[in-house]
Amino acid sequence: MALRVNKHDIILIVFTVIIAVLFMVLFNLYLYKGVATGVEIHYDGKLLESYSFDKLPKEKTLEINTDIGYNIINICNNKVSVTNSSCNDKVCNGFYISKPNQVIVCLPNKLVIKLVGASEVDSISY
Amino acid sequence: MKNKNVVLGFMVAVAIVLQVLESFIPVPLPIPGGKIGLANIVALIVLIKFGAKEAVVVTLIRAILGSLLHGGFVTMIYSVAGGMFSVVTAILLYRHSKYTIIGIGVMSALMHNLAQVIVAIILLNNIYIVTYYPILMLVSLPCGALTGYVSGLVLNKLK
Repeated sequence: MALRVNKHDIILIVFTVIIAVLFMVLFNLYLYKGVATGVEIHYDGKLLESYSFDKLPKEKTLEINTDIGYNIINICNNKVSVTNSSCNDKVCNGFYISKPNQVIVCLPNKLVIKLVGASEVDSISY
Repeated sequence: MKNKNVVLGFMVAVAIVLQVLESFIPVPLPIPGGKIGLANIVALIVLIKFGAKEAVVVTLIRAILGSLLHGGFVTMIYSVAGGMFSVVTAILLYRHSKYTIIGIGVMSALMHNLAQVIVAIILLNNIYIVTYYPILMLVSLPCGALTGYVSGLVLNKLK
């Protein structure tokens, strides 16, 4: 078979890029609005822990231990990243989130780390 | 083919090796969830060389055994969902579309990621996981094109 892309492939690729970029722009404009004020750690679909940034030191390392494994979470200047985890693939390691509603997902450990904005933190940091 | 089951068994073995191997390949981009999807090369080859049923069975066994070897039960759910979505996509496109194997590889990768995002949203009960998908779509393009291209190379050699 000929290993060259045809017209249909090109349309698929261009269409995919347009849709992806469009959604990234929309998320940035409407979903990641404002300043992150805290972080929520969800495990297996339930809220496990939540922290407000102003109650934490400038740099903090959290260790989340669950039945499945561990995740080491670094919080530095209101930016959150996962620096190590017990899973095999470690795809959640090495990048950070800094805006409200951004998430880091660790599928093998069933963990979702989500940043929250100003209005939401008040209701959870009781 | 007389020794078809032997060849298919070998294909499963190759796919498992590729699946485990690729978890050791660091993705050189700061993106979440980036995997190349090398095991899909085997699925595409089996689909074209043997047929739809064989591709589904090989992918299913690969996803289950590969996750048991390297991963665990949670990984298996994602692996099976992604594998099944992508192989069914490849079958439908191979039969009913004008995409080349490169386009089929791209679409398979897109559907593989979509399946995993949907499963993650359901299992982790968190709709915000959907924000990963646009990035994964962009990652699917080079990865899917690569798997499609490599499948084509191998198929050309097999002729």
